[in-house]
Amino acid sequence: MIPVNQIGLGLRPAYYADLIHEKPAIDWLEIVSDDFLSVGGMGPLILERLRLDYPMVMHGVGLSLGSADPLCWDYLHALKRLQDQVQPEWVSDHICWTGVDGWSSHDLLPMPRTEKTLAYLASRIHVVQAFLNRPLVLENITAYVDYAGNTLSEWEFMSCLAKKTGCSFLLDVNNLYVNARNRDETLEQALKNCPWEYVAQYHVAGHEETDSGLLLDTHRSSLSESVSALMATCWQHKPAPILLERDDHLPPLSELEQEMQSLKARLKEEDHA
Amino acid sequence: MLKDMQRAWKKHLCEGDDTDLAPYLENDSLNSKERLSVYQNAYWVRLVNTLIHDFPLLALEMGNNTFKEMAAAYLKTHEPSGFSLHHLGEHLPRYLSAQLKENHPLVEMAHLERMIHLIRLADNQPILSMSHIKERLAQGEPLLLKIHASVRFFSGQYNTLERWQAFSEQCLRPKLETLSERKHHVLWRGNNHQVNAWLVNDETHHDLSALVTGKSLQEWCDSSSETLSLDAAINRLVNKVFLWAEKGLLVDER
Repeated sequence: MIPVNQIGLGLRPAYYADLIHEKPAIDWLEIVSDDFLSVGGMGPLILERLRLDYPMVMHGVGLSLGSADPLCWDYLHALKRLQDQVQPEWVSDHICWTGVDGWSSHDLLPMPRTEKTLAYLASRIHVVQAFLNRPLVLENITAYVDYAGNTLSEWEFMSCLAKKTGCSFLLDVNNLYVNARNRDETLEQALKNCPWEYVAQYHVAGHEETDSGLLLDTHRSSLSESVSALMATCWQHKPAPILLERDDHLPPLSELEQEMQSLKARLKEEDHA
Repeated sequence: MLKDMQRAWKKHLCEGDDTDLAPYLENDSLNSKERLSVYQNAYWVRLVNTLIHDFPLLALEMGNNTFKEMAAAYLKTHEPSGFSLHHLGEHLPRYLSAQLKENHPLVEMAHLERMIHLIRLADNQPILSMSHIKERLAQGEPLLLKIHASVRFFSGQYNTLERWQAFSEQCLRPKLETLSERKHHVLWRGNNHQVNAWLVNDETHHDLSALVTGKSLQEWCDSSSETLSLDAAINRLVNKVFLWAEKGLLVDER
């Protein structure tokens, strides 16, 4: 298991060479499963090489658990093949849907939160978990809109899902912050009912603000002070491994290492305090 | 109900029409047009950027804005399906040729860049080395020879391949030229994962094409022996196999 005080990095192609040749002291790596589902090309070779130096977890964006379409077995078989190759500490994806009628948005779209969708999602999570032979870790997404028919809060929904299926929760702290700000909720409200007992991993990332004050989950800047502080608060509630995500405007790897070290130092300080 | 709601999202993202989606959403500032547009922008930016990534020189040649307009129109007729973005550009060369002309230089570039994408993604089979062949032959062990999964053929009437190589290796952009005659190249992925190119004559093109399209070496030898003696056909085969192995085009499937 990855120790709870370790901070990992999202593996991106721009960092392959540095990671392979310089082996920087990064605690663990999270791969985007979907980037490695193809059996050919450099991907499998890179994973084979990096697995020797870093513990890995798999994070997917394409399970589409909430889609009205049947589960995609081609995707599941590819995921299982990758799981067999990588032997990850855990496998995660999102509570969302990505497409319908065979069309794919390649985006993470929000689920309505009702008893009916809860049961639907739970049944599909059961199937996936049985197929992969492991419990899933599922992430809260950024949602810029809410549904009129929602009858459960995000945390009630997540908590019920975990109870029904045995899955765990990947709490994306940046998404938590962005959603709270965009919904005019206080962070106290957001933190109050979080199902901490199910949290198995955290994500942190940067966000940006539009001229109108809307926060966007862009993953293309360093962590804001607010998200770092919120991360430390969450970690006090439930210590779990943290993953730094960066998808755009990628800085040199050393800059991200520094960011991870700063966050680690902050967690340590607050732990002592 | 879930399917209807998701179809309404699709209509919003693909067509910019949120009339079907609106009834599902909370009727307050949370669901303003700005918020919905975040999804629509992200959808188009992600897909168009994927095409720019897969067709980098085509995008440069067309100009960023023209490429984006073409890509958006293409995506309306070829909606993304399946879980992999690798398939997104599958039909783009054909789409472009319907918009322009089959022999337009941009169409040739689109075909080449799609081919390069597939070469890079082809299965990782260990390339057969000459020392492996010699070792096997010395031990009297048979070889089951096949063409490497990354091997493709590119025929061009412009200097498209040369321009792509100059761009990808040195960020240079030589001028477009029409060739005096159509040239055939074998393209494949080497051990170093570089895309290699070999200018071949019609005969080699014909021989290798037959193997790539599924003909076995046995069948190839049999068809050669229709015009040559069996000994001559075997000699010809052996010479070719050694040449192809030296180039790194073969795998041993045993």
